[in-house]
Amino acid sequence: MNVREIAKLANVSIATVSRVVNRPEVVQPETRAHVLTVMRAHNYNPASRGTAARTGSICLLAGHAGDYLVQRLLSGVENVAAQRDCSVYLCGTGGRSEEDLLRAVVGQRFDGLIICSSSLGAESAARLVNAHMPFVLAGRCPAAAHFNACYVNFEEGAYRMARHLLELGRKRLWLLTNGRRPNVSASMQEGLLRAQRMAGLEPDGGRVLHAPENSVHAGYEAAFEVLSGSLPDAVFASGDELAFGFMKALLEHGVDVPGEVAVTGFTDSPTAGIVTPELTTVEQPAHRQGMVAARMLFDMIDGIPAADATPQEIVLLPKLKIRASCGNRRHINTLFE
Amino acid sequence: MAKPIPFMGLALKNPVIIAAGPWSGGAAAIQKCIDAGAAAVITETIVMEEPRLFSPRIYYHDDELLNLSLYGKRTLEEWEGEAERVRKDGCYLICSIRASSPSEIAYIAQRTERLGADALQLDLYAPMDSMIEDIHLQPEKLYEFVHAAVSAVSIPVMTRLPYNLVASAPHLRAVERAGLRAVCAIESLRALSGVDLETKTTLMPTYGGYTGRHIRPISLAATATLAQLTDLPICGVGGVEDYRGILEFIMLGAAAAQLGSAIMLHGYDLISKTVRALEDWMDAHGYDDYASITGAALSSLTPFEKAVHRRAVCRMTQPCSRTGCGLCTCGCMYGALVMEPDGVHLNSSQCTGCGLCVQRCPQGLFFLETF
Repeated sequence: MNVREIAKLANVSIATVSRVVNRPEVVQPETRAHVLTVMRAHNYNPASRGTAARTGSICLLAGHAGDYLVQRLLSGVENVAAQRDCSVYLCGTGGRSEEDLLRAVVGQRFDGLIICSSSLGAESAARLVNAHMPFVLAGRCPAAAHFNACYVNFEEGAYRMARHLLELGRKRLWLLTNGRRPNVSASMQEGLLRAQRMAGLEPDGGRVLHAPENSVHAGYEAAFEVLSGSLPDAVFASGDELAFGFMKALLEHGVDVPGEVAVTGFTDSPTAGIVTPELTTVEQPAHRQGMVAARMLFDMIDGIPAADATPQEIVLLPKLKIRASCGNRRHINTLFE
Repeated sequence: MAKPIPFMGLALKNPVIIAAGPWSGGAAAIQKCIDAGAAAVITETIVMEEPRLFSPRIYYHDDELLNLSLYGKRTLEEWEGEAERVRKDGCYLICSIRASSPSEIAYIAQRTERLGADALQLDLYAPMDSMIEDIHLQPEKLYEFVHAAVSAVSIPVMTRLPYNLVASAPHLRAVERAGLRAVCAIESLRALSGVDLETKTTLMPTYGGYTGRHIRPISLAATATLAQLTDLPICGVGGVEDYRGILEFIMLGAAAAQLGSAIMLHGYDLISKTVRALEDWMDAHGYDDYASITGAALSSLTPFEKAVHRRAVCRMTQPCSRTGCGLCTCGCMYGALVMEPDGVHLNSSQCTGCGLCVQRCPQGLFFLETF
């Protein structure tokens, strides 16, 4: 007997049976009594899966707790968790080994784990399966293809930004990337190459400037390396902070932004809309990603069987936020804020 | 009582389906639609993100509605509780869903199937948003969305198309290939309600979706076009105000039609009135099966090339001395109708038979004589 069969026999939805088992207090009393009767009549006893032993808490493991995107992700996870009175604990790696932290987290008796990582390998993830710890990967790490995962399609976001800049006549594009997120940088390069090919240009991928981290300071420093030479038509940074710093250095040296050089970001941070010129950027749906990851995790915790056995992989699409730093002059472009 | 209407595996007790909108935004609202006799109710659109309400979001002028919201006010989790409280009583619950990627739509499709949806409507083309622009231009992208949803669930899936895509054979072939079970048309139209001339600002802060009786001619043409281009069952939507609108869609080839924004203007009673009026019409005309009239009007629709062969000239049944009216003379662009001190003068040799005066004369004094 499984949840689908019980739902059919009780003439209620699968979601209702799951709610009766996992959160009986939110189900209408008559409905709950009816479902429980059907469950008893058919000896369906999901409590054996350990509902009673749950702690009502999950853990989000993420790189840098100070990162705006990590905070948005956490907020999305909390949003879904709060609806079932579940607490969310944030564990920032702070540069420590994910392996060690995972071992520590498994010992903490969380009901489940959301791992925001770009480097987690399949073997480490497999150890979590052996430890019976439900988990969802929030990020396109090597393990993502083999387990339930949810990540943002950076390549498509980068493609849209590059296409937008090319449409504005900015032919010489440079990338400013964050060394800490090599997979994002690689996706940006792919997106740029695709945009160049689609525009009938020589796909050279542009020059790539490397910054050690996503910070205003790192963006500022990166600009100094190139200010003496010939500048491109546009610089597409892998994070808004980098873009802010780069833009500041250009403006200080009398370079007109966006007149001479367009500068764009890849975050949509709260400050993107208040700097001058307002920053054109790619919005990363981190909040939604958190909601999706939490939903996938609670599906696993509640023991809801997926339609098939293959791991779920949910890809979210980032959105272009056109403001002024790209050289856009058409008001209509900024309409979809 | 007419026979149930087979529609993508569902047996509809009548052709009235309630469209996705705030009138179906939760258990209580949906129950009102069910109790009023609807055959199926489509939920307000369900999405992955956190619903955010903003104000104002509905603009009204002269029976026109423009709506700015993309989706309803409830989260996916809240919908589970809402769906649980609905007593279906022979009515079907269809969930309207929307997402930014195929894998995301597949997930929401599964979740909504699990909460008890009998079918799904994919709402990917909301005119306020540019999120998934590719599906307008690339049929293959639409295929990916539809295929992902269809493969994720065992309930039937239909999708709503905007008016410009109903004539796109590549898009229709794509959704057929993807396993879609029915197609709805049309999505609301991207619109602005106007500009305040004194402040030089738009009356709405962004584009809205335009619905209501003014879009009916467009949705009727969309249904007729679909009937010609695809064998998929059609669900007409756009501008239905009463039973006549529903019958028009059926006679143009639709299996059923949706009633939406008119509920906001006239209340839930409109549903029961429409259901009753349909029964009465069927009884009065001796039909017990909508199949007898489905697509009945299509044969009278001819291609432009054929329709333009007819020629006629305007005649008057009696002279008209109402010099104060002038509706016919001001509208005659060919100089055939002229207002003289003694009344309307018709010079048939100038008439090109456009037909406007025949329809505009308040006294019905004109007719067209075919030659």
